Amino acid sequence: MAMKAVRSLLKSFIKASLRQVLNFVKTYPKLRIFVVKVVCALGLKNIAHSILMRLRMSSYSQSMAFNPSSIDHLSPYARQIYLDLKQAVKRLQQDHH
Amino acid sequence: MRIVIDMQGAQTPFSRHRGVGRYTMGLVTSLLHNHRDHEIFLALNGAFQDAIGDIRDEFEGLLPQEKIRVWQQFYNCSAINHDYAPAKWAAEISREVFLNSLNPDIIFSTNLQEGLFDPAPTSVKLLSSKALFCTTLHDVIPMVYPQRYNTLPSIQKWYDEKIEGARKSDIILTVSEHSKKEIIELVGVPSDSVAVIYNAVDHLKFRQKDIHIEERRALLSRLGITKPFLLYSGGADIHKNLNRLYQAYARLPIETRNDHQLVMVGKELNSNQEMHRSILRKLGFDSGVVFTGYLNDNDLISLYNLCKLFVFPSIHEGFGLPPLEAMACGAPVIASKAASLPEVVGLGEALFDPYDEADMAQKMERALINSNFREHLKQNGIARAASFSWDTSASKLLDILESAGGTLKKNGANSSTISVADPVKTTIEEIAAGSIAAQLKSSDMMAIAVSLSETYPSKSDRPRKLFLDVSAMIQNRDHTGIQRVVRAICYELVRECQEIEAEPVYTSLDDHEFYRAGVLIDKIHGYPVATTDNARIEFYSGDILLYLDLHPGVAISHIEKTRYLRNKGVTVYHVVYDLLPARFPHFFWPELCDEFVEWLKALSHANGAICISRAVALELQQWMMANTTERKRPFRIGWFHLGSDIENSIPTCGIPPDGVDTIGKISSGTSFLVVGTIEPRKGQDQILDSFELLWSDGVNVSLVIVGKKGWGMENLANRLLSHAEYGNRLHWLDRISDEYLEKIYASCVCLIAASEGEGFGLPLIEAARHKIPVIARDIPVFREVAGEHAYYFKGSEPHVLADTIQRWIELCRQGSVPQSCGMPRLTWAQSAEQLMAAILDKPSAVSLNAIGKKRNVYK
Repeated sequence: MAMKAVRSLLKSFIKASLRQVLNFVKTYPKLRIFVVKVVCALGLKNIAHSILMRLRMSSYSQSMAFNPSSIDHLSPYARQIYLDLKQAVKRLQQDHH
Repeated sequence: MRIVIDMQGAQTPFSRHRGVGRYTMGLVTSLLHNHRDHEIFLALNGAFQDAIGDIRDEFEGLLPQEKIRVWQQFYNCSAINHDYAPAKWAAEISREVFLNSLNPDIIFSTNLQEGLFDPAPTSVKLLSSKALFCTTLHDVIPMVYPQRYNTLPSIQKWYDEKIEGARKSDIILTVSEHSKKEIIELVGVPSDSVAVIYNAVDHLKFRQKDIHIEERRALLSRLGITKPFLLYSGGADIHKNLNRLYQAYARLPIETRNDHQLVMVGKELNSNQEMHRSILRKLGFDSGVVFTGYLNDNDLISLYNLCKLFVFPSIHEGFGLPPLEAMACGAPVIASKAASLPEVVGLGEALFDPYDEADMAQKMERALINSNFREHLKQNGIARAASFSWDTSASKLLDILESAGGTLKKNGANSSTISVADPVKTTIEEIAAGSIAAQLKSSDMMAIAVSLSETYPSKSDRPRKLFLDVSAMIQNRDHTGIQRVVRAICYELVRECQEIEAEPVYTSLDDHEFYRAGVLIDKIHGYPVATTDNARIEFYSGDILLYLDLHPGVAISHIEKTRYLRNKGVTVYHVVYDLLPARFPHFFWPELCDEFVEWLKALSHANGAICISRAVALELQQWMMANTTERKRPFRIGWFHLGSDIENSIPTCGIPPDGVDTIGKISSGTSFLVVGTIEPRKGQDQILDSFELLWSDGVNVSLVIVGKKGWGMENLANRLLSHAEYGNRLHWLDRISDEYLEKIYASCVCLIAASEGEGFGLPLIEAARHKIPVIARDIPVFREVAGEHAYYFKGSEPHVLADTIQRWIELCRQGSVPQSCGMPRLTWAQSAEQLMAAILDKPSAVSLNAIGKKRNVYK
């Protein structure tokens, strides 16, 4: 179980780091072309392409799967609704008591 | 009357592919066709995104998309989920407030018995509402066999709540007289509160048809059917009585059985196939029975048409749709004489005792060996099926609803109805008022908050908006020709568009949210706009998202976001600048081509695309037809032309210190201009070669190349920089400002456009604006843009172009070269207007036939 958790953490870390690197590289067209050349020269084109596509597809589905862990993840509007709901529940429960 | 229909019966994984799903879609389609001027809204649960797309597709052209509304629900509330009670309460309240917020006179739920396995709340009147509640209770089989169905306390509790919901309904619909009788007896409701609306079939789909011999052979071979066959289709519940069907099949005379296979169609049958096979083995045979699993409608209809006999042995049904479908397709049908099936089949001779295998076997044998009997069954079936139609059912339903609505009007609305003026506030208050609300966890409340924020706009009076995606410009700092177009269009739409407020936005690969592009907005207005910040964008139903900038990665990573937004009622378009990496992959680096093709596929998830020329629109149409799957909702392809008034495209400024000297040199000779990034497809190689030929022939002309070095052009760049004429009769100006480019245009005598592929060819228009003639390669897009106002050449050899230039110089001396000033050209304001016409599908819009199904518009 612990091993599984460590592996999952490691995976998330690698994915996040790769995304950071990709974003940085994409910002600089010359660096982007250089990286592409190096990847091709190393014969890693196909692997790199499939990783890239997977990262792109997964980035959305991960963020879309709503798993609220913090109020910080909410939009200002959703945060306001959350606070209103929390307060209303608290108030009405106190009234019941 | 306004009728709001809860469509969850066509959405949940449990129901959408079963009879309930067919009932919902069939009945609602006919209601929309025969609406008698009643207003119909469809309400969809956002928890089932796949089904939302399908339903929107299905009703395209039949109901305006804005009448299909979605309430979001980002949490699980299914009864089988042990922690469900507080979430279920919140979901039920949220749904009821949402339905009431549409201001209905009638709320019609097509299936009350949802929510056991799926997050589909179907409560009735938890809140007091002015609307009448009409619900369909397809059967009460779990009340007839509680020991078989309600095996867990949680299931029993869920079922009891559903029955209570039925009791609270103003109108209960059911699908057969038999079901009505059982509902009255077991639910304990008065007979006048239950109405029968029969199931039916779509007669345009379920009909007799000629199946070509090749098609027949391929289908039967794919399914493993090698002999004449008996067919069963449907579920695998105990009341389907399949054990007795196997026993009856086993009782057939050996030669009859050997001559006929038994084909079992159904998803559940396939998942329990091993159990069914073990039953068959115990009966002493196995090989004569084929389990096909779930079949799509086309295959199923073919089997109905091809079977020798359709057998339906169920001992209990609310209706029994499969025998009706089979009859409509001309299959001889025999069925059990139990429950509703006699009402459906309507012929005593076609019925057997479902508890008596011998009777079943005897009827099967008679039908298999007696062709006259089969023909009799077939003719009865066709005639009988014709009497069940969705139009008849929809008409009867409207009679019932109108009568109930009339009574409601007479008696006056319920005086203590919930307020729907502020549905978020009402939802919060009603959820909190429930004692179970105390059990809501923080994470539940956050999920409820997000669901509400995505369902209701924060500003209900906000007019719809056009969001312009400019992600590449904001993030990658790209300064290509595309970004020039993006700037110009944004400038026009943000400042001048009267019809809809336009707002530039951006996103990134890792983030599914969009943000205001504050920097660009400030630039457009020329001063900091007070409200400008990088706030997160809230999309409302009716908004439009236009991917104006080209950022393939964003479009690819946002496929799901696009789907979500479309499901929500947002229209999504892409601007397509060209298809060059797909058409000329040899001109581009392979990774770009791969990504480009992925991007083109991603486009097909949007509502449509607007191309920058008709030529590109045609190319896109061909590409989509060849490379994407058929879609139900049409994919619109329109086009617009680009503007050329550079002063309105937020031009860049500045002339370098040596610029004046360079302009002097260029204007002193006969200078030919080439504008565009140095790329293989642009033909600069051929142009330089041809100028070398001209120079060697003693022709005194200059060549001015404007554009940055592109991918894989090191050789040409070195050749230019080390050329003997460089700085003399050969000039290469890299990354110059718009202001400098204007001066260069004014200093040259002719523009050469030698590109082998372009999306538009903006330099041609810019040349026309400066009244300098154009020599262009003869490609469709240049013909479209320049028409007869350019001098064309064909061929890729240097001497072809050199000869063309020589001839052009001769014609110029004679004063007979085509003048570019007559070239039709737009301002950016007109260009933006064309783009808006295409997006809003105005009559003035230019577009191709949409790809995909298109129907007549809602009456």
